[in-house]
Amino acid sequence: MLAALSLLAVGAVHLQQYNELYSAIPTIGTLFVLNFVAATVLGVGLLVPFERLWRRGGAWIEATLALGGIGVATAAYVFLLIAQRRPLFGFMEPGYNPDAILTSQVSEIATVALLGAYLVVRHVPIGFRGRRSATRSTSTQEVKA
Amino acid sequence: MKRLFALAAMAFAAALFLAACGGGGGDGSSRSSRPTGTATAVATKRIDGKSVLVDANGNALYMSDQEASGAVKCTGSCGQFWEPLAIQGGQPSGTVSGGTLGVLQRPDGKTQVTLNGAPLYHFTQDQPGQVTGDGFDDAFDGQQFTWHVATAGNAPSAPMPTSGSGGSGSSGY
Repeated sequence: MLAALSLLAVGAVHLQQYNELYSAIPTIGTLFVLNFVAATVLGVGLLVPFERLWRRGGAWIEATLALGGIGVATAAYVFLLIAQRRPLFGFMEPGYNPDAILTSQVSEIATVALLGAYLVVRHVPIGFRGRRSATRSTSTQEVKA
Repeated sequence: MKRLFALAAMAFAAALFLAACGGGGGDGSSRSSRPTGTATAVATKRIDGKSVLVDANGNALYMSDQEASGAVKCTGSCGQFWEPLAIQGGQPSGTVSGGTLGVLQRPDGKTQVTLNGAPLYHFTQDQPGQVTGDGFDDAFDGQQFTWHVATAGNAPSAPMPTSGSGGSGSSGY
């Protein structure tokens, strides 16, 4: 839930900054809109309990959405870091609006951290293997019984 | 289930609300075009301990190093961030110690106020009485700029000839 809200905040900041300033900048302006659309779609998707709705495919959908969210947040963070140092698509960002930049970076880091933690807890192979071995031992006990 | 969908809708609405209200800290007013008069006034005002050139509304004025020669390079999307101090006719009023006000014709046909031949701009993120764009390095369409707030002391040393409706012509030195 927090990760989804954080991702939605990433998109919201980009939409606000697009409206405020960046709509006139070729490529960068388009990327701001794409960031908002992607972050909103993925953020809302992460709030849908796919795993509960569709047990088999739901987990994969949630993992894909989480990976997508990490990708969107990471791309936004990296692109900003590059644009602060040298022109990116012809545009260099000196920090016009420090508050917006801080909000964006905090929400991007939070998104990556929270979605990363979610993926580790729910989907890493080691956890999967742990659950499988636990299932196997339970089955063995059942057979013995 | 219904509760989760409601939460999702609320989150989406919150995101849109943030966007609409300026969640990034902007006030939403900076895009509005600043008024231009037939006789744009330039004055000096003390802001943060500096004698800064301001327009009639008290907005700080800026110049870029790359345009010190009088060649207009801030065009297109640059104007979204750095708004030319335009004048609709005549000459700007006001005096600047150590500098001369004039005008030049921009590529888009507008007339822009100059200080010693260098075009003057507003920074669209400033409010009257604020100087937030001093020292910024940015780039638009691959053209890099270094911006400085215009002060009586940092006017380009050599006044350049103005075009269009003509500058004041005198150097002021």
